[in-house]
Amino acid sequence: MTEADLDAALLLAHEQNDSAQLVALYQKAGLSRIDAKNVDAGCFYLTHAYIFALEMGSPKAVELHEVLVSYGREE
Amino acid sequence: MTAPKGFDLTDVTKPVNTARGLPNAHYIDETVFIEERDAVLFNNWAGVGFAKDVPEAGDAMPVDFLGMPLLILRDQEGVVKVFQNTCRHRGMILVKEKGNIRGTIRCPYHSWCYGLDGSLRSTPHAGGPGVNIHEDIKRNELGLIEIRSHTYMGVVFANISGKAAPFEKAHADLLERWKDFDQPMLHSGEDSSFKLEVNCNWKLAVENYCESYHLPWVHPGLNSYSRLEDHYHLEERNKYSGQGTLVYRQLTGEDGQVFPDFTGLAQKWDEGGEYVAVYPNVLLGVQRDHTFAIILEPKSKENTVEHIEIFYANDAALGDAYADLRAQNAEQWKGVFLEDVFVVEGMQKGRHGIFFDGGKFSPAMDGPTHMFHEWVANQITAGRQVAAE
Repeated sequence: MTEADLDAALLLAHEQNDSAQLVALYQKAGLSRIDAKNVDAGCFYLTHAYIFALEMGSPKAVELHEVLVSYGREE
Repeated sequence: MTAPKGFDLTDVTKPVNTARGLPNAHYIDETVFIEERDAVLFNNWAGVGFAKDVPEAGDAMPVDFLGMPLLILRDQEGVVKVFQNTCRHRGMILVKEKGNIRGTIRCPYHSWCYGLDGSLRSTPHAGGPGVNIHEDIKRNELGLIEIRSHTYMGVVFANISGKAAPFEKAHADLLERWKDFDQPMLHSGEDSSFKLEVNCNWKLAVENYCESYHLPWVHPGLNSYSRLEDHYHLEERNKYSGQGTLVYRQLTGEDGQVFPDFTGLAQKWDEGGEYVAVYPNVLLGVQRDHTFAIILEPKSKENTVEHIEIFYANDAALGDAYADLRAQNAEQWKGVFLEDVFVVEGMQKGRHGIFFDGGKFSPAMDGPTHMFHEWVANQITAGRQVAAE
């Protein structure tokens, strides 16, 4: 998935209020930035994934929280 | 002849024989309406919603009570709670529509998230992009503001000021009087729910509900089986007032069908029914086979919405076999309450008469209504004393 494809998919998920897809796509975007050593951008996207996971009560919130804590971005 | 004084409440708190009712200003003046909002409704246990509207864990319902944004929700333990429906960050309304919160409440503005217990769970980017923490944002100090609440007879009561005595203490006498009804109240849904919009100050609905004096005139259909002399006053000074009947007659279907009774009721309830105004704005009625609750929602000084819900004793009464009887019961009560509309709206119009002096009570028949006036006057006086200190 190219960056443009990812952006388009994210916009569509926002339009459709598809929380599960928002979690998955933001997590994907975040992890790819982390892999590219861009921690700030990665944590930005992972934050979004975390927030939508929290909102929908997804168990993914736990692992996303752990990642953000490990980078000093969450309590 | 001169117009009566507007704001002096001395005459209201005199004994019923010599008292006057609340002055006109308490029904038609915006300043007094706001004063009563704070001193009477926010300072006491006001009915703000029904627990049956949030039946499942995570169910949340926003309520605008006299402009105060509230959120009634049922937490994971099944307890109904009330929060101020306002984000601690920028004051955004958190929940706009009734629904189920699956995880956390996310503010639609900057996505600060709150748990069902009100705790602040996350503050995204509050420390900068991708940084969700900041030393000056102390989450344990920024949870949702919880409003004291208590559920009784299906009604969610809230003490918005936080200054009232605990509900169980404030209403100990009524809880004791009606302890037989301290059991589950079941609601069947839309067929037992209706509301009436009336063009009157909310207090007039209380005042009319309290007394039986008007029954033979306004509800002539009652005369054949429930005469005025079959009723008695309920008067607990500075607590509650209302009326009771000694000849409650169960609604009976064509085939003799009646609703199942609540369990373990004392014999007095075989033909007894009681109707109490739980000050300030909740009207309750109990009978052997069903109860009802009315929340008076003040919309403005001269407009009120009456939210009426009927409750039954057990699951059988909620089944299809009782659907027709439930509909008949709701229709019957709605008919009674509709008969009262011209009265409360007429009294509202009458209070624009500048020479009306609050009215003269019948010492024999208006005791419960006077008791409500006296209580309101006492709340206002107490509020003024606090303000003056």
